[in-house]
Amino acid sequence: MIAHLGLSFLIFIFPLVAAAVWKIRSIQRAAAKAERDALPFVPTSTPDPALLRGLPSARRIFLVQHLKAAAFLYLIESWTIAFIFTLPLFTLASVNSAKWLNHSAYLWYSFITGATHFTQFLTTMVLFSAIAAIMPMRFGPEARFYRTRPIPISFVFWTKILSILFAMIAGAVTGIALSFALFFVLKGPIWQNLPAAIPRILGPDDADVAQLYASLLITSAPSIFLSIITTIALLFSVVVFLGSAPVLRLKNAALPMLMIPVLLVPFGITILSFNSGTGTPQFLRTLYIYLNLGPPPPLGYALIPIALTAVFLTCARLFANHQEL
Amino acid sequence: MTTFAIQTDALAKTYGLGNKKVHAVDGLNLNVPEGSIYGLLGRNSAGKTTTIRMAMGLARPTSGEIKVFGLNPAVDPERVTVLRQIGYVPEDKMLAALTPRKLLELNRSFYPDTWSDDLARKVIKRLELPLDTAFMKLSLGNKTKSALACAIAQRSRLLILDEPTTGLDPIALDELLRLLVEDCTADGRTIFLSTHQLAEIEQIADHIGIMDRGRILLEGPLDDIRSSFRRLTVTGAALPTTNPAILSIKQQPHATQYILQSSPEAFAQDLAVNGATIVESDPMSLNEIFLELCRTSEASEADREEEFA
Repeated sequence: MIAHLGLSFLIFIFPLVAAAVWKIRSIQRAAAKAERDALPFVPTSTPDPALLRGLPSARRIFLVQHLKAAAFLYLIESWTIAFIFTLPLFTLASVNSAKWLNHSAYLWYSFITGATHFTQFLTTMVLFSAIAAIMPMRFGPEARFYRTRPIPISFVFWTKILSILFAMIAGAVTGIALSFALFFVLKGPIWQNLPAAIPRILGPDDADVAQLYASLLITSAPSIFLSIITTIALLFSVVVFLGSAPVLRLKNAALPMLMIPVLLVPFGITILSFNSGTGTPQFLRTLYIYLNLGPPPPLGYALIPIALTAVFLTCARLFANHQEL
Repeated sequence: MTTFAIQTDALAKTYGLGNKKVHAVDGLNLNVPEGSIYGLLGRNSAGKTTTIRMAMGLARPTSGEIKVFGLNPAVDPERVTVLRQIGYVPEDKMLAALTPRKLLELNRSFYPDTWSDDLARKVIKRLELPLDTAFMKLSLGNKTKSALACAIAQRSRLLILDEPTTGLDPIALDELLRLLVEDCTADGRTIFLSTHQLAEIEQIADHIGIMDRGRILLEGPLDDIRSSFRRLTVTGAALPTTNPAILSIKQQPHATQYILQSSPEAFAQDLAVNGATIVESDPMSLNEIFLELCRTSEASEADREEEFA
C-alpha cells in the first residue's frame, strides 16, 4: 500500500517538477543569450488573438499576460485534481474491498470519498490562488506599476480575479472529467453496478460497511461535483473580499492583517469537516458545501454560494477603488 | 492666462488615528504651471512623495483637492485620462521585476500614441542602460535609469519624477539633466520633480516650491525667488526687528545680519535713510534660501508647540 502511494506520488510530482525545471532552464538560457548578444532596443509587435483585437493595446497586453498565467494555473489544477480523484485506482488492494462484497461499490465509494475529502486540499489551493490574485493589486511594484498606467481599475480587478477564478473552476471540471473518464476506461461504468440495497449478507460486525453502503446509495455524485465548483467560487470570493477590505489596510500593518484569511479559511473549513461526523452540518449544506456521504443539499441551495460570490466580489471591486498603494 | 498642470487647494493627507495621527500633507496649496520645470524641494518627510502619490491617484486626499490638468486623478475615468498624460518615476524605482528591455516593451504598449522608440534608444545610450540584465542584478542606479527611460520615452505632457537622481553617478546625472532640458520640455510639456539635489535643480528648474511639514513655505519662479532673497550685513543703532521683508535676524559681534525674503532694495533704502550702514549685501543661492526657510519654519513650529504646551 505504502509502495503504491509512493509510486503514485512520484507519478504525480514528476511532470510538475520536470516542467518547472525545464521552464526555469529555458528562461535562464534566454536571459544569458540576451545579455551576451546585447541587442539594441528594437521592439517587435507580437500577433494578438483575433478575439482581443477590439481592445486598446494596453488592455490587450494586460489581458493576454493574465490569460497565460491562468492557463498555467488551469494545467496545474487539472493535473492535481485528476491525480487525487484517480488515486484509488492505483492504491486499492482488492483485499480491502472483500468486505464490501461488491468491488464496483467499493471503487465508487473510494472515488466519491476522494471527492468529499478533497475539500481540505481545495481550500488551501483556493486560498493561495486568491491571495496570488489580490496581492499584486495591493502591494509591491506590480501593484504600483499597473495602478499608474492608463487602464481602469475595474479592468485590472476583473481581469486578475476572473482569470484566476475561471482557471480554478475550469481546472476542477477538467480534472474531475479526466478522472471520471479514466475510471470508465479502466473499470467500466462502475456507478451502474452498485447494488440497489444494502446486501443482506452483511452481519452485525459489519455495521460500519452497512452504514457506508446506505450513505453511498443516497449520495449524489453530480451534486458533489457541483458543490466543488460553488465552493471554489465561494471560498475564493471570501478571501478576495477579506484581502481587499479597507479595514485590513492600516499603514505598515497591511501584510500581517492579510494573515486573517490565511488562518481563518483553511483552518475553519478543516475543523468543520473533521467535526461534521457522518453528515454535513446544516449551515454548510445551506451554502451547498457537500462534505460527506449522504443525501445532497437541495439543488436550489447552489444559488446561495453563487449569489454570495457575486456579492463578495462586487464589494471587493468597490474596495479596490479606494485602495491606496 | 496661466494654465496649471497640477493644482492643489488646501490639500491634506493624514495617516493613523487618534494621538498617532501624522499630517503628511497639511493644507497644501501648490500651483505647477504648464510648460514649466518645477522643482519641489523639501526635507525628508516634508510631504513631497505623498503629494506626488496623490497626483498619481495612489493615495486619496483626506481633505482638500488635487487636480491634474483640471481632472481628479483618483477616480476613473478621469484617472485614466490623467495617467495617459503622465510619465512617472517613483521614489523606490521598483516598477516591475523585469529586465529593462521587457519593462520598456511593456510600458510602450500603454502609450501607443506618444511613445518614441528613437527617444527610448537615445536615453538608453546616453544613460548607458544595460537592457538585458535581470532585475535582481540591477544596481540602484540602473533601476533608476530603467524607470527614467520608460518615463521619458513616453513623451507625456507631464513628467513626474520623485527623487530621479537616486543612485546616479555624476556623469549619468549630468546626462539626465541634459535629456530633461533637451527632450522633455518641447511642445509646452511640464516636468515636476522632487529632490534633495538643490544644485542640480537650480541648473534646470524655472519654478520652485519649498515644502516643510506638509505645507508650502515658498513657491514661484526661480528668478523671482532669487531676486527677492538677500543677505544684508548692517551696522547702526535702533535697527528694525520686525518687517514683512525680514525672514530672520542674526546678531553678530559687530553687526546685524538680515535675511530678507522680499523687496530687499526698499528695505536697504529704509535702513540707509534711518542712518544704518550696509556693510555687505549678498544674493543667496537656492541652497541657502532652502536652509534658511527650513530653519525659520522649524523655529516657529517649536515656538508654536511651546505656546501650545
